[in-house]
Formats: sequence, C-alpha cells, structure tokens
Amino acid sequence: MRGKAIDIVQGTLNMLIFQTLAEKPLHGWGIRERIHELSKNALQVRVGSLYPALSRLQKRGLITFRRVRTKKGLMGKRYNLTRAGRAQLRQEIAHWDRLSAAVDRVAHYAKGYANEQITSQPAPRPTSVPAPQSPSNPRLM
Amino acid sequence: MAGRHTMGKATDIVHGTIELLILKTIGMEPIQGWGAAKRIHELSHQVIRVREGSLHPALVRLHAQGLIRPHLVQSGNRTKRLYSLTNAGRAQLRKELARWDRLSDAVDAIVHPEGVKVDKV
Repeated sequence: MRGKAIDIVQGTLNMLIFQTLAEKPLHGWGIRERIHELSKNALQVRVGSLYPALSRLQKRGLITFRRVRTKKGLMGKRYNLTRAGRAQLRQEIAHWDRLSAAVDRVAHYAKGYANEQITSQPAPRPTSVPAPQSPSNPRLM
Repeated sequence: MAGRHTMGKATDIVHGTIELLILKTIGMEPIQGWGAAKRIHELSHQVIRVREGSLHPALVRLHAQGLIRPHLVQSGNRTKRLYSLTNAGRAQLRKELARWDRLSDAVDAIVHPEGVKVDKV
C-alpha cells in the first residue's frame, strides 16, 4: 500500500455499500472492514459518513436491516440489500464505469505535450473504452 | 472533494477530479480557461462538462495556490489570458494523477472483483 488510505466521498460510498451487501448481509463495521479489505487497504470509510449513509439508503428502501445479537451479546443492525438496491447497484456501476473511463481519457491523454515531460508520465492506458452511450447528456461538474 | 452533491451517483468522485483535469489540459499547452473546459469535454468524448460556475472558481483557486500562471497575449485587437502550469503545478498534477489512479483502481477492484473490465489494466 502506497500512502495512506483515501476517504471515500458520498456518491461512491453508496455504490460500495451496495456491492459489499450484495455478497452477504453485514453489520456496519463489517461493511467498513470489507471495503477496506477489498480495496487492499486503499479506501477507508469514516464512521461519520457510513452511518448517515446507511440511514439514508434504508429510508430510500435500497437496504433493510434486522436487529441481531452480536457475539459480544450486543444488539446490532445487520444490513441487507433489497431488490431495488440491487438494481441501483447495477445502475451505479454503469455510471461509475462511464465517468471513470471519461476521467481516464483526459487524465491519461498523452499527445500534444508542449510543456510536460513525457518521460515522467505513466504509460497511457489502452483507449478501447466503449463510447459513451448518450453524449447529449454530459455530467455537469 | 465535497460530498454534498447528487447522492447515490458516482458524479461526486469525478467532481473531485476537476482540478486534476484542468491542470492536465493546461499542462498540455498554454490555454484559455474556456479552452481548458472545451478540451476536457472533447477528450472525455463529451461525457464531462465543466460549467462556467465550476471553472472560474477552480482557476482562481489554482492560481492562488501558485499552481497555474496567467499571461496576457495580444491577439489582433483582443487580449487573451492564457494559463500555463508552474513547477509546483506540474508536481501537483503528477500527485493528483497518482491519487486518481489509486482511487479508481481501488473502486474498480471492489465493483469488478473478477476484473471483467478490460479497459483498466
């Protein structure tokens, strides 16, 4: 692992919560642990971001929870992905793929360097990304 | 990276890359602010549009941090304000590129556990 773990921002956090819950129901701390682990310790979720996010997703019907007793005998919430949450996950992954590919195209554009040292640049990524499906609907930044 | 925009969308994470993208386009050649926005739109295959309301504050921030330098160029009877990267800006660009790669690879590792995506090696 290079550097310290990066905090995840809200939008991506929802997608990552759905993804971990798609594997199996988890407690809040289990979700944090799983994201940390799957990202090979590159991503960390702040407790202060996770619980408000879980509460919002639950209100939107994308996740549900059951109260279960933990090994330590405490009552805790174990979260589960709903059918709507599963559909939302597919949508968000498609959205992420499209946007991250677009950022990559700009960030790794290798031609036309007038005042950049090309030798210090990483090799450009292959550009065989699918063309955006609806160019008439650009994401606003 | 502010997290208060459209909830539930990946847009936020990309929102945090606006400075990276502006530094990148300015690093390619000295360019006007609107030109940088136009180039981002083109290179992203029209997926990313940087609005005027995001572009201007970003340029002001990057200038205040000493990462970009404006210079005025006479073009006919008009004066163009071209931006170029400072040395600090070049270093910052490398840093932000590395950060983006690390972040996007980590997210991809989670959402594409089987490595089904072929465009990210």
